[in-house]
Amino acid sequence: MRAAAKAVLLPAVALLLAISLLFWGAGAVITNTMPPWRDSVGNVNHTEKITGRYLVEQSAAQEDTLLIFGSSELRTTEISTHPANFFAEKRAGFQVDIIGRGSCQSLIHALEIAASGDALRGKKVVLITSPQSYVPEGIAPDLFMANFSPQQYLELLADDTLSDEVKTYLSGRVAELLEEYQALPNAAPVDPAISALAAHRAEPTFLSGVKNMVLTPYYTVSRYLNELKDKVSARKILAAGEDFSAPANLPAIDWSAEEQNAIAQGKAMSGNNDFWMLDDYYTTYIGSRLERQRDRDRDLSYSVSKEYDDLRVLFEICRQKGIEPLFVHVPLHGKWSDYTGFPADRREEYYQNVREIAEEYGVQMLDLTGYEYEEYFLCDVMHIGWKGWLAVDKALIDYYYEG
Amino acid sequence: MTPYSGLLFFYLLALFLTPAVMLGLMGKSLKQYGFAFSLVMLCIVFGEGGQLGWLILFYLWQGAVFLAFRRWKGKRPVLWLAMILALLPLAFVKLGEVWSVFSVFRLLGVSYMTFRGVEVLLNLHDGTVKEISLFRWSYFLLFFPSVSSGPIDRCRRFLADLEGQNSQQEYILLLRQGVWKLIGGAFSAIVLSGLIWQYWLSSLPAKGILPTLSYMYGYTLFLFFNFAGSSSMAIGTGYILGIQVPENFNQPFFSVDMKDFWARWHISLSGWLRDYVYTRFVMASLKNKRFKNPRTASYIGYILTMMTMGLWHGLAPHYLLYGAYHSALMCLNEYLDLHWKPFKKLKRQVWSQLCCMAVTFHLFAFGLLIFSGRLL
Amino acid sequence: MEQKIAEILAAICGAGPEEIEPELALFEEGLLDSFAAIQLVMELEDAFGVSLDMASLPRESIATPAAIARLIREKLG
Repeated sequence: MRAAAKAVLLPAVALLLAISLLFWGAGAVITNTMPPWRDSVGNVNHTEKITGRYLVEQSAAQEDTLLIFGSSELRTTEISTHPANFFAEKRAGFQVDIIGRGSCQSLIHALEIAASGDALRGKKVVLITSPQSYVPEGIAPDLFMANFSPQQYLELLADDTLSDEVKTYLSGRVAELLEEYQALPNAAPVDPAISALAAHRAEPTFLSGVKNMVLTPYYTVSRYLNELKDKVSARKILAAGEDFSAPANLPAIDWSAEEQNAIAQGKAMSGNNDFWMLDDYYTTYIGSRLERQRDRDRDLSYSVSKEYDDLRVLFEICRQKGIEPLFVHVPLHGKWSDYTGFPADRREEYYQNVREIAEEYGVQMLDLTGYEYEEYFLCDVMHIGWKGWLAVDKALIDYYYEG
Repeated sequence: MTPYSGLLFFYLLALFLTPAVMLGLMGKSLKQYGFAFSLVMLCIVFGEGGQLGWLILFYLWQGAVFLAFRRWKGKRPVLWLAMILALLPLAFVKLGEVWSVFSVFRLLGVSYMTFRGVEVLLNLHDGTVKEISLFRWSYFLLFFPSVSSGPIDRCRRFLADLEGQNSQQEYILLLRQGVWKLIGGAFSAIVLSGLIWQYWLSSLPAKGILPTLSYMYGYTLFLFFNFAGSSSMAIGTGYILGIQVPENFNQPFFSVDMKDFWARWHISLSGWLRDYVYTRFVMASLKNKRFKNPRTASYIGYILTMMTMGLWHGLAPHYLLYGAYHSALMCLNEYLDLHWKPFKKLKRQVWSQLCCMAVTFHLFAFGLLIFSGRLL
Repeated sequence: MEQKIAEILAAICGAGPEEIEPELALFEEGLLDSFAAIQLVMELEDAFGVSLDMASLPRESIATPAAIARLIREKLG
């Protein structure tokens, strides 16, 4: 027996040591050679910011960076008042970091902020949600899957500063959406261990407990490897970035001149329609089909939606992380909504629902819903445009410097 | 879940192999645990892939054919009937790949499991396997390590391993070899082939002569590392369970002609086909004097074998073309062996041997280009 | 017997009987291929009056002249 132990145990231990050393060494090399944060990275909504942790952690560590978590409206960087353009080169003494893309709804940002550890504790953060997210079933499973990060999910479960209620709620949503996703035709494979974990954390049973125990070492290794993968993908982005330094004396901003410029640009970019919408957008989505869209949204309603609960948990997570966010309440396009038959009273129901939730959590709000009919405020049927972004920019400066 | 890929699979593999190692080190039989291991892994892998129902159905079907055949074997028509029934699920799955009517039939590893099942039937018919219990048959059919990508083990060899009892010393040796094969296979199938895919193949343009040429070389290397690696992982896992699964590759790029090549590439498949298609056909032809010239039997035997090989991969046109291409190459090879006297010498002298290797490599690489479906 | 086997092999492989050494690796040296192996088995059956079931014959048992001799002795009993 002793001989057998010697013949097996020693090589086994040596093998395990060698493998651990390999991973640990690779990790140490990657971690110690990471390039520093670059200001220009903030101006692009890289996917890696949504699916990883490292980039957000780094930007949160900057003194002069304001993080904006949003969705598809962040894409309109061709508009000069978009925060990534407006605050480029730190004209107001700080710069923004835009995080999010289409389909990044409240749940995605809730997971992301929950997974940020202490990086965002006490930081200022801007949150934007889009009206069209508030459909009854909330985020669609395929859109969720496109932005879901197992790394973030594993991290947030390990965070002791988050309440069990939050973890249970998030787990329930993750379990439910992963299951719905897998039922879709042509669904990509989902890590079954993550599905099992989410199901267990949402509704533990004896069997799920056994599974969880068996898989615990897997989750540990998985977390470590995810972290390395995240750093490797962030490295390329950081390496290509550049820094800007703020001007020594901040130039005063002439808001009325800015507004004139915004309107002039709006006019130039939306010449082919009467709805102040971007030309390209109008041609692609409306154009010749204008007539068919009349009264199309008669039955549309954002009055009841799972998205409201996701928004609640997003605010709750901010509270638990000591974040006092600025929430931007985006209006619908009044003229267009009237045309498609989405009535004003039902629009108001949505506005009011969101306002009440923000109030419930004591969240500071930039309420833009009064600007439904303002020209050049939006740039298509739902996204903030020339004047809209300018209003946001102004609020960002106040928010950044307050307190 | 795809076998032999992803952290989760390897974690579960290591987890469930640990008791086998313990038992083996204590000098205990691994027969029962090995079977349980196979069942658990099959349930996880096929359950995750949503194919567990099909697997159970497949097992019951093959089991019924096996039991009925074991009871009523003897006559040739019974053998033919049993063969057709045993091959039916494979035919359905392969049809499903090219014809949407049958596309509900999807079963990972059906080609490998079917060949194992058919082999038992043939051996029972020949009387070379006299008696095989339902348990042993089930273990052979469902042996997990080689379920998804071979090697195709032989029932007599497998059963002998099952009967033999490894001593502690022998098991330690098996264990060491097994672990190395697993690690080496993982390196080849995941790291090497992954690198080739990422830095070579994935960035190639879809059209053009030069990119296609480059694809041919890249794909050949990719497939070799990937396939030889996964075979090696399967073999290693088998060793740890006390089953010495046969090797599947033997330095195929050093082959001097196509016959040599098929004795070195995917050996378990070509060996299976040689024994159960080529040899059977040629033997019967010679005994019954089917052809005036006995060599005709050999030519037709090669065509039959290589076409079966193509069909076994699937019914898509590029697989059939792949089979036809190799049929032609084997016939050419046979012709040269018979009628071109210097060929034998050329294959043995150093410099001409290198030329033979280069030519064989290119012939095969072109075959894989067909196989990849890029041309059709 | 060894003499007879060498003669059969020499005829099939197209070599002189003196080249057929007992431990010659017939397959690896390219002397036997699948067809020649079948021919060999049939000739052996004829010459020694034994029944060698080709389909169930492991390759190793006819891999060298010495192995073939062992096989025949075993079959003759």
